[in-house]
Amino acid sequence: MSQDVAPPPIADLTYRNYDGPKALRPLRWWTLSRSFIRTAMRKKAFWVLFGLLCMQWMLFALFVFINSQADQITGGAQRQLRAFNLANTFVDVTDIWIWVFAIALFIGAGSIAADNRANAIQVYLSKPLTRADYILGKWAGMVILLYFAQFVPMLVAVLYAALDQGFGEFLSSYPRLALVFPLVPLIPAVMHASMLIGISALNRTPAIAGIAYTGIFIVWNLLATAIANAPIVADDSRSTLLFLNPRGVIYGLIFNLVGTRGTPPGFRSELPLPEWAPLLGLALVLCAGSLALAVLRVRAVEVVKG
Amino acid sequence: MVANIRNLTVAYGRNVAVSGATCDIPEGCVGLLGPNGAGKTTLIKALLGFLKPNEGEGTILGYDIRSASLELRLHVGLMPESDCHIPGISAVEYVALAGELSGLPRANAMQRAHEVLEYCGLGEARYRFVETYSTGMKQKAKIAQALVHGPQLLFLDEPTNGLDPESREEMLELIRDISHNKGVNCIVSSHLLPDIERTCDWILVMSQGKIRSQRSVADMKGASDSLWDVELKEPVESFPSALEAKGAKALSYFSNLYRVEVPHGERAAMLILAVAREVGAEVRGLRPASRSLEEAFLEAIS
Repeated sequence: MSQDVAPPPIADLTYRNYDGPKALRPLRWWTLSRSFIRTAMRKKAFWVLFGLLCMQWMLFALFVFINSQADQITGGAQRQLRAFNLANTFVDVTDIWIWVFAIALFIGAGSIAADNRANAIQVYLSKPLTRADYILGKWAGMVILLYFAQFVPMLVAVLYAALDQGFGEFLSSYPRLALVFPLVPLIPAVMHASMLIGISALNRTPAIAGIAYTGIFIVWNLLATAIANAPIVADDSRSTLLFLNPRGVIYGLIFNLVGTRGTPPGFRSELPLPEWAPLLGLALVLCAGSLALAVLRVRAVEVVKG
Repeated sequence: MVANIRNLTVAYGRNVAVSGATCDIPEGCVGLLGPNGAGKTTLIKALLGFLKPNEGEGTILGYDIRSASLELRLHVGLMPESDCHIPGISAVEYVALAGELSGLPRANAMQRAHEVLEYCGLGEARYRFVETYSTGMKQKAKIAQALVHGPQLLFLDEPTNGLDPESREEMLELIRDISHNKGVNCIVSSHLLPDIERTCDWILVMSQGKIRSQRSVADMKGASDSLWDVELKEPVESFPSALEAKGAKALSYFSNLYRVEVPHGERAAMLILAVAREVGAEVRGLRPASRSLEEAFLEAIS
């Protein structure tokens, strides 16, 4: 008899309004960062790229292993070679930029663009959250994830190298590397996160944001290389000019931090370090400019001035 | 009063979207009614602090809209007009995140997300990604994220946009339940009169950026001094012409029922009874006519 009656839309008739604790938290951006990290880590592609990044550091461990075997075979004659190689090899492996870049692109291109497309910013900003909180939340989430994605395999690889040599010898032979290597992943993490936040904020499609960032990253690098190698450029300026691009800034600062430029393929001897001051200046301009762009673009409403 | 607005003006460049809005919004369910482009959404966005007013001031729940918009947003919820969700997460995570962002402890936010989604009729679908939802389900998810932190005031911007008749019924019933049984004040913005009539007790009529009228639904639809419904014992052919001779007018009639317009200032009942006596008609009923909301709305914006 009553089978035709539609069920009521309000399923839970016991529902009550919320009267529990509720407060304006000073670290409210952290909620957003946590959500960003959780969402990114749930994607399989992130773990595939992380696996490839780990392979990069396995290469480092493999080199250390081969070197230690060579040391045993030659009865200690390779000691000097090994001491030289370990710091440089660290830099050489770090200089393989592609997997860090790919992870950054994967997690960062859609960081704001996907929210623009889904109109999520209006939802975020209707909560007690400022535009700065929103951008800081996204930025911090990306920096933390990128940092640990690099740091974990790097730490394992460096620990293996230290164990291989013995901690005492490792610390006395490479005091600078032992001190600064935890800071190395911070540079790509901060640079990629800042620039991607700015570019992503300008777009409504993550793929377009990704293509734009890849274009800027690669084309600017090629352009800087071409300018640095131009005949009219003075020889003492070449080294610094070569690094005046996003990729160059990241790795130029890492080289300065570790204190060596490594031995890239095709170079038999150690190359001179680029000047750190112009690189730091450009890094700050790129980061601050990108974040300022994001602050300008992120709005709860699209304001069209007529 | 949940909101007091004084002389609020919001402009996009040279285009003034809201002009000198002044109103006191009472508790309960209030309809913000107006044609498309009337300035309803702009007014809501200014009240939430999304847009800076060019002039004027206002308070919502006692919080100044210019200086305390963060504290204010702790106590209000917004269901935006446009299709919106946080991509890449399920509905329960979406609503729990909205709760956490609104200042709820993590465990409470998750518990509330389940409760609110169940209440909104999405209990079975709560673990699905919002992007896979139908339009009706997305609307419910929007209302759930606005409700999760237990707001004292809920802004609902065109809540029945794009819904089929069945989903629309459900949404209207949900809004009515929230506002009338759960004690949450609601401001429902819509250009659909039947939606407002179904859910609201009080109406603000907006047109061309101005607030044209602010009255209770009963007042708006209620008796005016000039319109009367007259019931005669039987139809009298000469009754309309006799009314016209006295300056009144029979606007419509069906059988023995007449709707009569009497000039303002006249003693309407006396005039109608006098005319009836003159034509030998027996008056069975005489009462002030109630208008449809549509008539009241058209009068307000004209």
